[in-house]
Amino acid sequence: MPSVLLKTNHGDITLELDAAKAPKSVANFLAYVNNGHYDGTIFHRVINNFMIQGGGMTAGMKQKPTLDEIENEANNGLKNDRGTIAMARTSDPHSATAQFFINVDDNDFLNHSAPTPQGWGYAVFGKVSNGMDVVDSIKKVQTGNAGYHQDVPTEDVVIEKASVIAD
Amino acid sequence: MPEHTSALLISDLHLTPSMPLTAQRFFDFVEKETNDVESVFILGDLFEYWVGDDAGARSPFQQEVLRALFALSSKTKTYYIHGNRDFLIGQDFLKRSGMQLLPDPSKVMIAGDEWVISHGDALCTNDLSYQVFRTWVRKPWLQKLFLRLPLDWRRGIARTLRSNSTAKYERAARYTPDVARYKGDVTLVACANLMGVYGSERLIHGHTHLPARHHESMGSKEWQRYVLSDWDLDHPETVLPKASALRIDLHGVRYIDLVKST
Repeated sequence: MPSVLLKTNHGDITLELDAAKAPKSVANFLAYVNNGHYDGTIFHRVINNFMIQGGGMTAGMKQKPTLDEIENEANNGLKNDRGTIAMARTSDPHSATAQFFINVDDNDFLNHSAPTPQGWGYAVFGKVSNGMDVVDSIKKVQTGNAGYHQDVPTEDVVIEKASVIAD
Repeated sequence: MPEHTSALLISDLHLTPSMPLTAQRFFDFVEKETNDVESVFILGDLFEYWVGDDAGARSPFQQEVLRALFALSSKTKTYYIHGNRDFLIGQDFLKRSGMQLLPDPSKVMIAGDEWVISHGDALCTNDLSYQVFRTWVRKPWLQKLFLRLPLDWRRGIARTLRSNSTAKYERAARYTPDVARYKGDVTLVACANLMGVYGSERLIHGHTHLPARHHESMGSKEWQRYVLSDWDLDHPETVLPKASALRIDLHGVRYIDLVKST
């Protein structure tokens, strides 16, 4: 199982990725890890008891350029349960690029229910294997509005370095 | 006060599984028509009824709407004001939808102007019995008690309240249309009072299902009042299909007909 370490300014989070059930999402995530995309990005959307989302913006809410959109693998049977990591996207089901979120609660409504635009759900591709206490400390930070965005931490939560620690 | 460069405002969608075309229009609206605005405001009665977030969690339809709202709030700031049908939408649903709850009424700055936004039911002050009912059902302790009832009871109570109010409204509309109009619309006094309290000259509300732009005055106070349309695309045999949004940006204020643009 590939494993990725996120060093954040709140502590370390280790992710175990499920390459068997979500091969495309995992390959995509690893590509961003390996090209250094995530280094210096922030968790820009934090909703307590729901999820923390990041990997697409740098401090000051500047969007980073991304690779191509990927296919949604939400129909792989993995559920958006507490501690899982899933690909973020727009309302188009197959529009995920770099942004991801970590579920901090069981979010059944994000699971795949039908191959329709509304039913696709969000593709889970791994889980937090270590550092859930760090995730729990992030989910509680103070948030506010920033430009076009809601629920933005008032003090930056930064991914200082993302690195592959096991293939 | 929060400032927004551009916004879309909608209300009174009354979403329910029994109105699939209306729901589909909402999903399309979220996907296609909200991409170039900073904020979306939903001024109440998004749902036909709401008897608790726990009930919503069990309804595939409400989960579908929740997913659409989550997608919407991922790209656009999304605000919500409670309506008279869905005022029990609670923190759990709000959090997962990514919507931010605003008090009714609220003052917001859009495209450089100050607007007061409200669902509008509190402005229908000619309907005294409704206003009494409203002050009761908005009491947090009573809501807490209600939400502790078994789900079936809550659904039953909600159904009884809805059918009573529908029957009452239909009776009034048929036999005493003047009274129905008088009670079912906002009052000049209530609007004047609101504009005075907020020191504002612009008001947007829904609830009455009487979409129009009004220029009103009382004494020396003058204001613009924009009323949002309800949505109904599922009963073409009785109701002309209707769905619209109010768009405010640097070019001004205009209604966007969402029926024609499908």
